[in-house]
Amino acid sequence: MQILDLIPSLSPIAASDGSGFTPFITIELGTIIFVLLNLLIIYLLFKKFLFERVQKILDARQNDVQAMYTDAETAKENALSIEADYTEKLSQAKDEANELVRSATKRAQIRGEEIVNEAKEQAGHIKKRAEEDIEREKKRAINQIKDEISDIAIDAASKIAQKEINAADQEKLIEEFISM
Amino acid sequence: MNGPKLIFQLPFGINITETVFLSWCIIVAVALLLLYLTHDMEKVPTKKRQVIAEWIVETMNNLVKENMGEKFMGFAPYIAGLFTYSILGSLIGLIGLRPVTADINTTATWAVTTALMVQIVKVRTSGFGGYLKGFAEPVAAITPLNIISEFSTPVSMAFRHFGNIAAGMVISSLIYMGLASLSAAIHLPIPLLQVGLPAILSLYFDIFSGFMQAYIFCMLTMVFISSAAE
Amino acid sequence: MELARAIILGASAIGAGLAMIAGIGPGIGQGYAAGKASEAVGRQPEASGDIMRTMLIGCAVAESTGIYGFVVAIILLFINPLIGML
Repeated sequence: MQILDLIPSLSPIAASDGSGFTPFITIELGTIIFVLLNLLIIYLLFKKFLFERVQKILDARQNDVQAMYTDAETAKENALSIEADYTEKLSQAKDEANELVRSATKRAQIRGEEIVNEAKEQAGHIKKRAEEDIEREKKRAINQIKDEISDIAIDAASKIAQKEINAADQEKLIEEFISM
Repeated sequence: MNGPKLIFQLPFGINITETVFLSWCIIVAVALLLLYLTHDMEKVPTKKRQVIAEWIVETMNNLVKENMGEKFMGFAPYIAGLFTYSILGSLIGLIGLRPVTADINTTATWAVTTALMVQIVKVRTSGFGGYLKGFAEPVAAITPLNIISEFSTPVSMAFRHFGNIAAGMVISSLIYMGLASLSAAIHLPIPLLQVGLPAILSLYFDIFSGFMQAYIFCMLTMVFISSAAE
Repeated sequence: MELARAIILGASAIGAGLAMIAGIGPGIGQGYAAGKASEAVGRQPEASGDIMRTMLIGCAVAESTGIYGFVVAIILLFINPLIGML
């Protein structure tokens, strides 16, 4: 009330009894009209400036969250399928590796056996050849000895034939031959 | 005790009283507050004022949904506006102004608006014939009583709100006057006794009573409108 | 004339005071309703919203009689209809 008194142009003009106040209980058409208008205005204010704006933001956020959830869902599905893929591949690879190892082991075994067999064979060959060589050498040596003996015999015979054989000579000859 | 002060007169006997002037002040304050609360909002709330704005909207939406159901969600801004108008209209008594709600024209206008909404919802729900027939329920003999109760609803709503706030105002001013004369009687240079006691009383009459009446008025509006749709 | 006016004003004030006796009924009724509502909330705390709403509506209806008394008192005090009958 005091505030309104400070504004001269707003000071009361007249009231029914000249005091500037309306009665405590009365029907004021102006008040009713303007309160109705104010109610409408305040409703529109709340509607336009609070509820619609906030609802827009909330909807946007809701959409975001929804999108996020959908994204997460698809990402999860992707990850799951990729994981399944990888698991499958991994088990495949394991199988393959096992197969590989098994076949390699088998091959290696076969190969090893082959090598051993070959080596045995070769060794057999070598042994056989060596035996043959030895046999040949032996034969050759025997032949050589035979030849030499026959040569010596021929030598001795020719020497005997050259000289007059006497006992002394003969002994000498034999000694000579042996010491040769 | 006087009514609201007359500020100026328009033609056709339309008087602009203190009530209307203060209502405009409230409207401007509400508009500024709402613009402040909701300007540059973001999807991820970082400012406190946006949190407050969202809280208001969600609280009002929940209240309306709980009391009126999903199909009356359009009433949420109206209820919020009515609540704010009523609260601020009562609370301006705290700064020494005349409460807007201590004017019977204000509360009567609100109550009549509610009653009109109730009638419209009734006609919409059951058709005009069904609406007229509804007055003769459960027996035709109590038709006058039903009609009286339709009128007594806005009257009691208006006078309840007006009565609480106006009575608070009257009692506060009586106590101020009484304390002033008591201070004068014991020769105090300034009315020192006016300090203290009125603050406690205004805590009850202005704050508690203001909130309570605003809540009850909005609650009754919601319940009457939603029960009119049954 | 002045005396009659004074008597009417005084009687109106007394009448207003008497009219406000109507406030006793709603007071008792609402207190009873609130007490019952408290009991109900104590029994079923999860239904406190419904109970609160029902209680408020009941109180509002019960309060009507008190408000009628209040209206009569206000009319007697501030509108003084009886003075016009002199």
